[in-house]
Amino acid sequence: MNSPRLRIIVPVAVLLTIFSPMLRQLPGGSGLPDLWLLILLMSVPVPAPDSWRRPIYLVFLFGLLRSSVTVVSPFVAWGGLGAALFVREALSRRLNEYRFLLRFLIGFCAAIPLTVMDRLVAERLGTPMAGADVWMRCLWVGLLVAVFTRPQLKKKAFSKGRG
Amino acid sequence: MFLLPGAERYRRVMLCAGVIVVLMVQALLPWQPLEDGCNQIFGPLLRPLTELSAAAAEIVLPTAEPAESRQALEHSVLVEMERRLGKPEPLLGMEWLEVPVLSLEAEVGRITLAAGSDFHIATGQVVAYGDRYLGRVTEVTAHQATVELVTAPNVRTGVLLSDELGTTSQAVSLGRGRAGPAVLPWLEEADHIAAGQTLTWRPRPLDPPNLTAAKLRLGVTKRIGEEQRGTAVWTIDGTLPTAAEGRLYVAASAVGERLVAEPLQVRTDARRLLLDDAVLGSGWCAVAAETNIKPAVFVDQGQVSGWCSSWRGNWGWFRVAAPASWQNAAVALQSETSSVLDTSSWQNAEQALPLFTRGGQGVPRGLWLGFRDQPSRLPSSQLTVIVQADRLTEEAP
Repeated sequence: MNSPRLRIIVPVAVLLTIFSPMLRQLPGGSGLPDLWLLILLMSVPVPAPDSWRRPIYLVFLFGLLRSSVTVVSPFVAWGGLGAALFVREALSRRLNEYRFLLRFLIGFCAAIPLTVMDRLVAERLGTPMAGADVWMRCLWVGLLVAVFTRPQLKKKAFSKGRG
Repeated sequence: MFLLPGAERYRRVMLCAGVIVVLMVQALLPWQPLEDGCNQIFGPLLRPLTELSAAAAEIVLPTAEPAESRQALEHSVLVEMERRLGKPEPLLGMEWLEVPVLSLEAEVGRITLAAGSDFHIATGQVVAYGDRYLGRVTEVTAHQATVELVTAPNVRTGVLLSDELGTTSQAVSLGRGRAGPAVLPWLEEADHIAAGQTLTWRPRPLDPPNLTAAKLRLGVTKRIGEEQRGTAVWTIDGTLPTAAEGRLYVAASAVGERLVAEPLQVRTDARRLLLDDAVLGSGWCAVAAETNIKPAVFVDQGQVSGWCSSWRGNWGWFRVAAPASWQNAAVALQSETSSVLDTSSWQNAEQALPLFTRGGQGVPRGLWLGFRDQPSRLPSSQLTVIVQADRLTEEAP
């Protein structure tokens, strides 16, 4: 699979970081998915490439970007984003990516570590996150991953193409 | 070392899983030095992005400046009342050192003071509040001191009993801790004692002689138990003054440069950045300070509106909270009875009392929080951040 170029991913991620606090302010914004997790899942191909340099770089970068607009520690982001890739890789090797429900399940499960850690940190900081928001965030990630990582799209959006 | 592709992949997966587990452990059970180091390194680098996000938010969703608070009380109101109620009469050749209380364990008769050898406090010094004798300093560390009250287990205190005619006799009190009030196991004139007699503190032979002039009271005599069963004993009837949980006075014949151990505050101007957290939502505020200090709270129009949760070099995140959310970190002032109330008292009080910071953890005592029923206020664009100076000294390398 051809993955999007960094010169596209990084500006998009920065732009989303800038507007992310506003998105969270929107009605129902607390249930919106984690943007950095979404970009990461769409930027790193499945199965993972032989070189892990790019996924590691993206996890590190997105963790930093995320921590610039949240009180949540960058370690939560690094751990959660890394775990998301790990979970997705483990599941996608066993599940059929041509079925929507299975892709949804993969995305949903990949979102769990980061979302659960966010919830635990929120409780520790004294601003508990509602259970419904946790579910919504995972469901959104599952849904968007299922829609945007269709095998048919693999060679299209944001890709380098083949020359 | 030669590894087959499968083995190589397995090794990398295990390594990756290990790193992720370590990161997750650090995320959920943060080791503070690592967290602080990371914040110090990356915080200043990320500030431009935070500012950019704040500027975008201000353009898209401009925030109106909150109306000026008209009910703000001077932060010193609580401190002034505690001083007025608590400072004992001056003594010749001696000084009363004013020391804030860090924690109070009334049931075991122990008080921890927020100053120690750094403020020239020494063991054996007498501690008082108003005209009340409370106990002695028994343990001193660099920044803390422990006071054992008259009621602490096995603490013996010399007592002078005086009746209405002015006749005095000696006695010794013995603290019992949780078992009850201090008893008087030895009385010089046991036949002449009566209920309600005033008990005055009697100095030890090596105490400064001028302390006798202070005439510090312990309470009044009270008989408890049953006479017929032979369990009746004379006890000291006297509760700890409520306001004494704020600050106490330590008698000293040799003092340092300062007589008041109120830690110095460092204040600096600050600027509001973001009003919302991109992960946790509302209730958070990013603030950038003018100088490079790690603040404890921020003050908006004279009112403490939030505490610092994460500091990242020259900016950080503050929890914006209503006065009642401060819970154990707040005390209330009841001006009608001239008393200072702790959490359980002000939470159950009928009227919404004015709340002040309790002090500790870098937060100065007596800062104005607002009235109990007030909601949290939207931070203004210009703020002040505060931390106690000793906190900065502790954190300095």
